[in-house]
Amino acid sequence: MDCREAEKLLRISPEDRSTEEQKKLEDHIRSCEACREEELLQRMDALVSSSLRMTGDEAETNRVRFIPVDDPVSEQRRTVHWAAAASIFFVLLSGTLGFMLGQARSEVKHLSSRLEQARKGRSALERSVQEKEERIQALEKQKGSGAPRTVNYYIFDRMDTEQPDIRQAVFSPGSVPEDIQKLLKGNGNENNYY
Amino acid sequence: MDSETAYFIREAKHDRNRALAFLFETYSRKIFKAAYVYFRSQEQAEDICQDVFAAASARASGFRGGSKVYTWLYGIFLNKARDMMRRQYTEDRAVREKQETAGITRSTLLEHDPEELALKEDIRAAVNEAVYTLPEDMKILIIMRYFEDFSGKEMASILDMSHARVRSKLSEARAALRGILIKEHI
Repeated sequence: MDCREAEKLLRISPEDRSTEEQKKLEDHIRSCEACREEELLQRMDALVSSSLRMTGDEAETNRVRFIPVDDPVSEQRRTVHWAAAASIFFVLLSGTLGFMLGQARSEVKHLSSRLEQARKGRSALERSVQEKEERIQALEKQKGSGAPRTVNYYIFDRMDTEQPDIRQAVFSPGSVPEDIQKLLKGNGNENNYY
Repeated sequence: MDSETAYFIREAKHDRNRALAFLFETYSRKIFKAAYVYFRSQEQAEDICQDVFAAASARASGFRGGSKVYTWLYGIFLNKARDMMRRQYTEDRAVREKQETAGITRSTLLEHDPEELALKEDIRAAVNEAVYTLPEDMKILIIMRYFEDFSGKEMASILDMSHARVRSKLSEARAALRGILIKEHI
């Protein structure tokens, strides 16, 4: 018997070997160190297997319980996910609110500036109205009191002249100024004045 | 896809609670035993079970049936177990790893039937201690292979490794366990 045949026989249990096979195997193992070692390992495998199984059977499996809770790792992961989602939400919310606040501030600023301009425009208009009223009052006063006014007038020496003589004179309302009367008399045209 | 996997996917889509109830009724004892073998503590096995089914409930709708339901659930269990193991890794444990375990002699193992040996409490304790003393990645492979009886393909899928790498790592773990467990002479 060679080592290969011996190894094949070692892999089957001793009860399944014939007497002849068993004898040949024992003879071979006695003379072969490698096969002695293989037999030892095969026996060790069987011993370890039986021992571990018996140890497993010692476990009080009636004590096995399960409280249905989430896997701690998944739970932790879920918590992290929630925290991340909440953080993102708050960042977005604060960003949006910040943006809206900024917009509102700039709108308020813009409206304030427009209000200021309107106020300035209003006071300018009021001043202008006041000035106009004052002027109207002054004119009214001037008219009512009959105060003389300076006016431009034009002297035509001849009716066909194209170069009128432009002069200034002070007129009192309702009367022809004296110097104009004199001028007209001097030309013999005292009844023809314009 | 087997009928159990198809049923679970269907339930997970329509009613998460029913899917979870199915999962718990079918696999809670198996997962509890796996946790007990892994931690050798009832309390820790209870905590792990709670965590595993809570996680499975949350991930049920994402299960597409790429593997068997138990393979998928065992993957969740393994992640939770590793997390817990990392949390409880203390100097005490580091010191204990360096200590000699009781072990069993080569002649005892060769002269007796392994299943009969496993019935003896001191031998079983020595085996458990040896497995528990292994580095974490090796311990996982040994438990998956010898307690859960996962195939190399299933182990590769759960551990996200190639089949060849699983075989090589398992061979290393087996050699390490042999070194811790089997004494030439005591």
